Amino acid sequence: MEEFTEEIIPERAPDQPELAPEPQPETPEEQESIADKVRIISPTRLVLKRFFRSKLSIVGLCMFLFLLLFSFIGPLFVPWTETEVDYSGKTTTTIVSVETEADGEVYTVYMVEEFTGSINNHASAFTYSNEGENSRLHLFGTDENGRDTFVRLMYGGRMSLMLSFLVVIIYTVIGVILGGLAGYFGKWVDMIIMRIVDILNCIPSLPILLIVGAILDGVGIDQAVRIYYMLGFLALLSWTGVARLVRGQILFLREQEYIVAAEALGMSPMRKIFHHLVPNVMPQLIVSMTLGLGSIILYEATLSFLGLGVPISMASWGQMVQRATQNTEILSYYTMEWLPAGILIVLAVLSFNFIGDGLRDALDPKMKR
Amino acid sequence: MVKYIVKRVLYSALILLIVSMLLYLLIRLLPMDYVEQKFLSQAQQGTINEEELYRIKALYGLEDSSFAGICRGYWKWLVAVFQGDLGTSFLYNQPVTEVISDHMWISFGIALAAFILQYAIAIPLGIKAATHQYGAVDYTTTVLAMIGISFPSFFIAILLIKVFSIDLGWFPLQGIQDADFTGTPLELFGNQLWHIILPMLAITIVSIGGLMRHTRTNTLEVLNQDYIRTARAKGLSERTVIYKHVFRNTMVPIVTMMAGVIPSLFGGMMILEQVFALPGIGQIAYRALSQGDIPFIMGYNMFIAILTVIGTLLSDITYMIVDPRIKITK
Repeated sequence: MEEFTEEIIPERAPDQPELAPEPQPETPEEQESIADKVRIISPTRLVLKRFFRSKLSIVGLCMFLFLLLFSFIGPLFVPWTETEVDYSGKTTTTIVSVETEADGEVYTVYMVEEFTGSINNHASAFTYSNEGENSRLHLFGTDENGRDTFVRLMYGGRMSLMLSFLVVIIYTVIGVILGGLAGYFGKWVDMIIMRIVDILNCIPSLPILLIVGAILDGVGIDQAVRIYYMLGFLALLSWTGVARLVRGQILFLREQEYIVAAEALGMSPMRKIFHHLVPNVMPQLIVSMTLGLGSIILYEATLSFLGLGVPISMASWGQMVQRATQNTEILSYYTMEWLPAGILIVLAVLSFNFIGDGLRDALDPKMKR
Repeated sequence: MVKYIVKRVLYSALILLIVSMLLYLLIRLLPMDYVEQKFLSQAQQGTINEEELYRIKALYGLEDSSFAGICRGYWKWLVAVFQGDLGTSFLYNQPVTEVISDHMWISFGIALAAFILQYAIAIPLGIKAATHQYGAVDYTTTVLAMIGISFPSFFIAILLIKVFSIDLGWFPLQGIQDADFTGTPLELFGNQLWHIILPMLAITIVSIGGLMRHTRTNTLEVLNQDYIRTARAKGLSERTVIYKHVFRNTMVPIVTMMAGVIPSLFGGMMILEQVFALPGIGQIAYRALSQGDIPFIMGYNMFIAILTVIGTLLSDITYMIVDPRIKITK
């Protein structure tokens, strides 16, 4: 690796390119003339450099991009849609052995029974629908209602990724605002907000979500939108961590010289909080948001697993796994109907954990490597 | 220190009071109360009329669903709690405390076994990973720990069932003991042990990663301390440095973490117990939740909340005892 000393210059405005303009050497001689190789690297560049140096972060990023493409672009390339049922029919053949006794001897008679259903359910992987010439491929087979498993994985992914981003953004915004107010103003504002945080921390979230789910059902909320309300409620319960983090950082930063200078310049509190304090909390916030994405995906899957997610006609990873627990037949014989969904949940959470971990190391100024 | 503890306990009591209020309000908002659910079919067939239904509701204390009625109900519950009575569970027809203590020990046994297994594996591996930072052991344990954390508990449970009980047939599918089991108490114990191995493994896999990473980070921090450099400079062998000087200091935060797991030891696992059909406290609570069994839900949640408060308090106190550098600031 080349030797150079890194000098950190203050971050530029976001609209400027993140690359600090470097003097471009025109000739080899000139390159030698800056042989000291003092390169000026902006903090963003430094962080990116550190981030991409870790193999795990790259793996995480690749997994995330794969999932993103898989769930948002993927359905374009699959000839099925989320709720489409394969009505092309299916012939099941069963062999029944019957023992009969005749002429004093026991015979075993095998009867071949054929049954043709109208729905092509439980199709195996890599089979085609029985539609004659324009039959379509079921890459991962179909579920018990004759819907294509592969395309449902994609739609399930859309749901999971979109919802987790939404929830994390909502609770981070709430947390930043309340934590910022508590940390900056202190006194009674801090008192009230931190007491609310303590109360929310004491509330067990899963039982509460179960109750909320039941209440929403009773109020007559459409099942298709119920999950949004549920996760909205989850966001209302989960902002406490962010608020604590922001508050702690602001308590620390408030004593720094540049805030004293800002005070002396007569800046308004809002400007101080959102222009000077919050940007300094950003590194920790980004890390906690990335790790939060994973845990929200787990929550969404768990809610779907408990039957509180999207309605059965819509796809969701958690719900696909859940069917295996309700039906031992699916669990034992139709692995393709639940295993990929579970693996995708793990992949999604893992990718966010890898990225978050890589970011934490990259953003940590104490890390030397 | 006594003053600090008293202050903390009083403050926690206040928090618990508010939490119980919110919880009670939420449960009473449930659209179908216990009585309506129970007599749903009779009400639909018309074999029970409004008046009788109202009388039964009054028996359970559910007749008044207005805000004032809910407040009165809460007050009644609160007064009873201060007299040491958590009420009688609607669903199980037993005092709540009895239901909890009947089913708690199954969950506790499984959680304790998983807890011991976790510590036995995670601590040596975490230390090993830290002392060989950026080595093969470090990378493998980090990746495995991350994968473990990323598993939803229900998925790992189903995977274990599929592989070990359906395909390989090594372990039983579900339940806490064979349905038709007859034998001596010792055999019964063996049989139960056989049944809890998979749930135990599932808990361990899901939660071992966090502990391992925690150990690793702590060890790394200790390794950078001056006294470790001094120990090495004195010419102590690497073994002595690691197992005597590093290990002890690494244990400080980990010992305090132990107190923090109290609620998860006793509280049961709502989802895993469902999948494995174990009659632990988690499954009992899930059934109570879905059927609006108010005394049990309140009792159970208060039980968990109190355990959480005790857990955090204990971990703070052990921290002060184990590490004399920590001083009470409040």
